[in-house]
Amino acid sequence: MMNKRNVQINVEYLTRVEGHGNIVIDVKEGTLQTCRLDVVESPRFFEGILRGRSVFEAQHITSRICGICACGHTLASIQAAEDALGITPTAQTLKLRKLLLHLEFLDSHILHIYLLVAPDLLGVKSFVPLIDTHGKVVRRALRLKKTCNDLCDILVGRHVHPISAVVGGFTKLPSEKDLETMLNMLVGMRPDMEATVELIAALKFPEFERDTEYVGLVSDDGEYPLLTGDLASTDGVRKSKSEYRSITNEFTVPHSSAKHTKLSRESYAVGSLARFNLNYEKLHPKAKELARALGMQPKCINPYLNTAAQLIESIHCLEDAIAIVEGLQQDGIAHDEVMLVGLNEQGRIPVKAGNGVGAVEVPRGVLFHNYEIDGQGVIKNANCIIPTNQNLNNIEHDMEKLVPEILLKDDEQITLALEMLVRAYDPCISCSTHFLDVRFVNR
Amino acid sequence: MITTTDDISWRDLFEPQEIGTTFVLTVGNLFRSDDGVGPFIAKHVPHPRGHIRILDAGDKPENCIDRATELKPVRSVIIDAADFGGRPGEIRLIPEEAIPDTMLSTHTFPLRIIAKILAEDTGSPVFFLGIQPKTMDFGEGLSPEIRSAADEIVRMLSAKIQL
Repeated sequence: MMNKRNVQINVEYLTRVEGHGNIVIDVKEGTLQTCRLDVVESPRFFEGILRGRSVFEAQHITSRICGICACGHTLASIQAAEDALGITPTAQTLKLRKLLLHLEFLDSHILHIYLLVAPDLLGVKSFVPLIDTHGKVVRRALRLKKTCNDLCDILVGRHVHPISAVVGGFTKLPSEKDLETMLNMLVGMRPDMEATVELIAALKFPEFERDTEYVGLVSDDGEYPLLTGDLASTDGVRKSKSEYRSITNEFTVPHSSAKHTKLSRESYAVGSLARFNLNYEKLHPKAKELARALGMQPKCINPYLNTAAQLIESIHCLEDAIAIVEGLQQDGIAHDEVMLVGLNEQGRIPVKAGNGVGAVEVPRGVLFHNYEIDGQGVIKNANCIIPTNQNLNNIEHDMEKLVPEILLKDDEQITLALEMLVRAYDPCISCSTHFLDVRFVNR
Repeated sequence: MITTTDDISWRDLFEPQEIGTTFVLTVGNLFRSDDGVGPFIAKHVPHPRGHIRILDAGDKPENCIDRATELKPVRSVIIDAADFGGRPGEIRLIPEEAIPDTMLSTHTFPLRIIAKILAEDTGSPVFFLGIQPKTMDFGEGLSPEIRSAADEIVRMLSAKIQL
């Protein structure tokens, strides 16, 4: 019988994920023997690099963990520092930080949707051939991405790796002209985002479901929580961010240089789908309207639809970014809040020993930075737990359920289904420690 | 179109054209060792002017297409580290079909797409000039062989600018 076959498939160097890993599948007489997502990247020792450095420069160092979540790392770093120092950011600072995060979500989600997922759904091997067959699509992706980069440049002084976002606020605040320029650019993105929605809505995502626990930030206010709130799960867990270690419960596995995590069950997931499941009601009305049009409602347990959740979030981020800029225009920017802190050589910010946690939703899920500092503001210990680490275990459990369901397919189809599953999580293996291979061992 | 021919030497790329500008776009990451060869070249060519214009795109080449289009070049040259199996520091014109579809980073636009759009929007040929890296590991500074190749391209560009 077909499903009693042995299967051995090795897909090495899976493309369109960030970093280097292997998928290893071994099916003997129709029974799954091995199902692993090996992460074979070397650790990058960022926590070690932070030791002995001023907490006031940590955000510039940790931003380099990732070229796409640079703003997210910056903000988690700043939040951890401020938590340790006992600083409460102003309302204006929080708005600008949220705006920055929206820009990063848009940039990252658009890239994942167009460059990494769309080729699978359009039946091509990579994004490059689309320049000949779908020239308008490619140019639209390019235009959207460039706009996000340019907006980031205006807001924080660089296309990537923000320079003006610091502990306590911003070293440069947007002028009235900057706000007007940003608003025009954001509003100008709407037609391209509408076309993106049309493109993705017409594509068919694979059908697969596995109920799992979803983890992310929640809050009691009306805001879709990205920067503030508690940690919570769809299984009813709710804890303060200071208790993040009891959420992640990190553990090591022999086949991965990245740690795995679990909470109430054998694994949990973070990211757009988790946020959608936890905070659907707080999405912008236009985003909820899109969810309805896509037939999605919480709790959605098809991991392939993480990409659809990213699209829904993109609409939310765009509309909320526009609202933030319009609000800032209406209220006016308080330029006296400019924070020229440097390494705090002038002692502008009172320093005390402490321990602080940053918990920030970034495109791939909730990101933790935790710093212990001494009385001079020097980092004694640091811990960074990135979203991809938290998803690795969940991906493996998805694969364990998926493989037996698709054993009647041929090797090529199984391989594609697994690659697409991993890509749906938009993993950034470089951050967690880098590339992906899939290996099947005879079915 | 993206152009390469067997008869053209990379040194010919920077010869003054009868009319118009040669646009040089350097690409790379200064923090990935020899991948920084493109930005290194852009930084060390003094006062690009006349028929040669240089723009360093770093690791964001997609942000530089508008600027290139404004310049209306008659030729574009993209300079980047490229692993074509040569000896470290070897300089070679790379044919379009040899540029991989995959990306150096998944979060960066594929250079092949950037080149195609650049060619379409400027209506002029685009050449890829590749320098074989020795290492692309995290780190600053170029390997001696790659530094030597970079210096040769800088000398060539500087000399042509004087023409």
